[in-house]
Amino acid sequence: MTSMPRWARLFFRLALPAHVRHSALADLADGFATRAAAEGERSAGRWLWSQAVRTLGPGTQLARLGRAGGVFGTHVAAALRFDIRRGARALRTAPAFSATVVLIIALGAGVATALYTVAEHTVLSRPPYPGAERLYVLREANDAVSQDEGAAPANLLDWRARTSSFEGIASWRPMPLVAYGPEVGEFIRAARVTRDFFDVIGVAPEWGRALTSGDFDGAWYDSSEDYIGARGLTAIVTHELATRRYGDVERAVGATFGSELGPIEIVGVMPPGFRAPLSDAELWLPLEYRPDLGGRNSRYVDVIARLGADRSIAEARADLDRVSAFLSSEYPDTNGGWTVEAIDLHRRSIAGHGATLATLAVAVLCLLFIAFLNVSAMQIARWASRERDLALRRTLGASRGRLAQQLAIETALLCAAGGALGVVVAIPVLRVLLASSPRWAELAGTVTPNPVVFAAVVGAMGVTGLASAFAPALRLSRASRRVGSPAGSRSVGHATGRLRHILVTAEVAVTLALLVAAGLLSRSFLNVRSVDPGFEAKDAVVLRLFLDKARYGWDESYEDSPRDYFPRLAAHLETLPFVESAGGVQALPMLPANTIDFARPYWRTDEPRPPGDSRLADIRLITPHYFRALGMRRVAGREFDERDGAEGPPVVVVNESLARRLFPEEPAVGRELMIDYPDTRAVRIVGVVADVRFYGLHVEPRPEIYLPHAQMPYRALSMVVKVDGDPETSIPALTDAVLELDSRQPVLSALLLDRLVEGSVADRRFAARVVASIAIAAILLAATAIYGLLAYLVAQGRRAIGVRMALGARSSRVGLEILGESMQVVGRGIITGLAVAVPLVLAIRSQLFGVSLADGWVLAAATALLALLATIAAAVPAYRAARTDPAEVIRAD
Amino acid sequence: MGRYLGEFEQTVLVALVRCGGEATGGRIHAEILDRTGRDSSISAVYVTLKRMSDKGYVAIREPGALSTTMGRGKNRYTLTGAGAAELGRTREMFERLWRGVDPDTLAAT
Repeated sequence: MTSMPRWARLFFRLALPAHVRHSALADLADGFATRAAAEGERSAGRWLWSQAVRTLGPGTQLARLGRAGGVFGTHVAAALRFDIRRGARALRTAPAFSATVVLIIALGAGVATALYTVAEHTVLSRPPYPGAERLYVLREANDAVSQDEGAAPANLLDWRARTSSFEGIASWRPMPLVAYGPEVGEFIRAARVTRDFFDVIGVAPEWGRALTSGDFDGAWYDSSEDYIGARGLTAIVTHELATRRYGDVERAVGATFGSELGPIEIVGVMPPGFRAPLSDAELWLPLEYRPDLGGRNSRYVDVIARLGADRSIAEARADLDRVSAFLSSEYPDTNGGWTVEAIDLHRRSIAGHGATLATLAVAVLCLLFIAFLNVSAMQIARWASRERDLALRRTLGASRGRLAQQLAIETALLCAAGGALGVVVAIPVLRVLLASSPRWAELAGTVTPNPVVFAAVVGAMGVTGLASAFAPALRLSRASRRVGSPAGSRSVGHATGRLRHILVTAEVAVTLALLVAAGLLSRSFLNVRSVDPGFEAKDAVVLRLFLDKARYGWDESYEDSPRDYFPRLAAHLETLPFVESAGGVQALPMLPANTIDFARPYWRTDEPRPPGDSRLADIRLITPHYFRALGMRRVAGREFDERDGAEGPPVVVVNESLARRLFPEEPAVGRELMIDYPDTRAVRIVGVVADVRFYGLHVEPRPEIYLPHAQMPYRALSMVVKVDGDPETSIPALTDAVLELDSRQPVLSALLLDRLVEGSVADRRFAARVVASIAIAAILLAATAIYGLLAYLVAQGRRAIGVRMALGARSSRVGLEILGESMQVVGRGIITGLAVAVPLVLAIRSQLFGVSLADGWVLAAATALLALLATIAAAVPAYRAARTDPAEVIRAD
Repeated sequence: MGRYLGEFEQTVLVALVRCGGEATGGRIHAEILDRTGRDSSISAVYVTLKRMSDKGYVAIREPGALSTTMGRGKNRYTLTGAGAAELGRTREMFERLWRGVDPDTLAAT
């Protein structure tokens, strides 16, 4: 039998009067169980909710329960009902106050909860593997090389053999795989993994079996990633791939499909939803490093390790340091200066998200702070303005407890309303937050705001409001009980007035800091946007291609060769009427991580290589029309053409950064340089092209060497196609053209280059937008607070103003004085705000681009905007004060 | 004469009669649901029964010690003579009130 949920048991136990509690609880439990069995637990849960609501709903059972005498005893229940009614009435009589506080609570709680929820599902949640806190990514690092590197397989084998701190050290290597289908080929995102990969991650296939050592024996690949094992390959696949290709998992296990690597048999299927760390692979093949593999300088595999259960990461790092010191001395040419870094997998997976989220977190904290200050200031003002009413009630015999109860109830009512509205705010804000960042878009729709955090924020605002309201209420109860005692009320008014001054000053200060941060982020975004990438992204389509390994190769035994295919494809695409030019490259601007991007050492031919020199140049293998298709600018010399074929002399084109670095004084064209690709050799420079921002608009260009694809052919290229007309609608025609050339060779993906460029600034735009919206919310709140303060001061000082005006003071003078008072508060706030901005700006420093931390324009604009709004907010009460009719004031006394 | 029974009081008492004159609160709640399709609040049923017993219309029989400790014991409610009389009086009042009202007139209004 399904038992009643705990919340319901607790709720009804509290809500039901003692004499019926036992029986009613038993009946509710029976009712729940019966409904759960008949209609399911959801329906039973809904029934329980309806029972709960009708037990406590307004004007329904609470009254009768109270009369019957229970936990809500007669007096308490009656007083409570009375207070709730009176509280609601009191709040209705001050609609501006109530609406503002409710809005502040809703905004603060809604936005903060939405952001926390985003953080919770992205940066705060550990990767979903058992013992994930012991998983580390290992990679080689060298202070002289700024680039992220993986590990060289030979070094990896040494770490495995010579360290004892890790339970296992596994590696993987992504590889798109052409799988043959009944009609056209399909690309599968595959990865090759070493034998302990799934043990290290700690997740095993749910159907079929794991890869065993039999699967790995001789699972060798050559340097161009061709499988050279003696028999067919076996693979583990994701649940999603199994159901996509075979309809159901049971049929997938044991199935064999044809591929460019030969037949592949699926032996196991991972649990639904499984994703390997730092990879989007959907199929895993065995990978065995050959004993004779050399190349300690090619650091291209990704490594993940599981720390031993009784080992600390410090021990493990010492262990790795020892091994890398040994390797440095053993192989100084390739390993000198290289160490091994162990990075927490969790930290590695959130790298890049962190800075954006930290910025948003700081901004939201500021907003919350302002919201708290505002709730506080509003409450103080309201209770101070009701001092006559309270004093009257005290005189008539109301106890302090009763007054406090009323206070608490009004605050609770405000929180309840604010909370309800806050949910309405949180859900769309969360959705917009997730949808507007490309990294998080996939979470939208599955994630709901965290109820605990939401309740905590609303509760905290309630407590703040209560505490702020208690101050005047307590003072009052201590002060004279005489109604309207001048001494009593003046002292209360004075003290709370001072407190409110401080609160408003703080609010103005934090708002200014937020405005400055928003200004800096927006300027950074605009600066990044205006950076010239060095190429034209507009109207360029990128077709990513990985040629079928079984059919495209390097000798006569293959159907075709990549060397011939790509120029043929480029020529074929250029015959289309809307194509201006087409050229291929093995790494793609703005998306290098997903393509084959690598860098190699280079030095001058006429000088010996400087010892310990580890400068690297990014290698780009291109077909002749690449520069044209990408709209790159030629600075000197020529582009590649038919002279640079396989038999021609080895030539390169370099970018300006490299030319400047290597030949600062003389022209680079015609000179020779040494590169270590594929082995150490001299090449002649035939041209120099302008720098491009290959790694994002905010990343400085690095030295680049372009090699003709005809001399260094490669199977995986991205074809950049410059089209005349709408690039998006031309994609189908382009992919069809690829299939026209070879119906079994699919396009891995087609992308729009300007979208990639946009994507590279998406995080920045996202941060700038969100912080700007938060700053706008903050400035509105601050204006409300300034208005509230002055309106209150004017109301308090009405009598004095009236008397002064009766004695002949000019109304313009009175108005200006009031305005002056507000400007004093704002001025103090602005000075404090400049100080508060310092830590805030330091916190977002990493997000800034092309602006100084103390950008004069931003500071001036933020200050002016705030001062302007503050003046407008202050003008209304000042005007009202100036219009005070002395006769009326004196009559009222 | 005092006031007549309220609508929900009447509903609860009639349901109790339908249950054979003795029933638990849960049984009465189920009876109301069965006959009227109205899923009333269980606590409302109990509170009404308590009020009826305060007026002497309903007698409460508490469960034995054993059944309570076993967690399944519930109060059982019986209609008293006074309760039956009051129910009858209320019904009579309504019948008097309805007498002579033509259903067609009602439909035409």
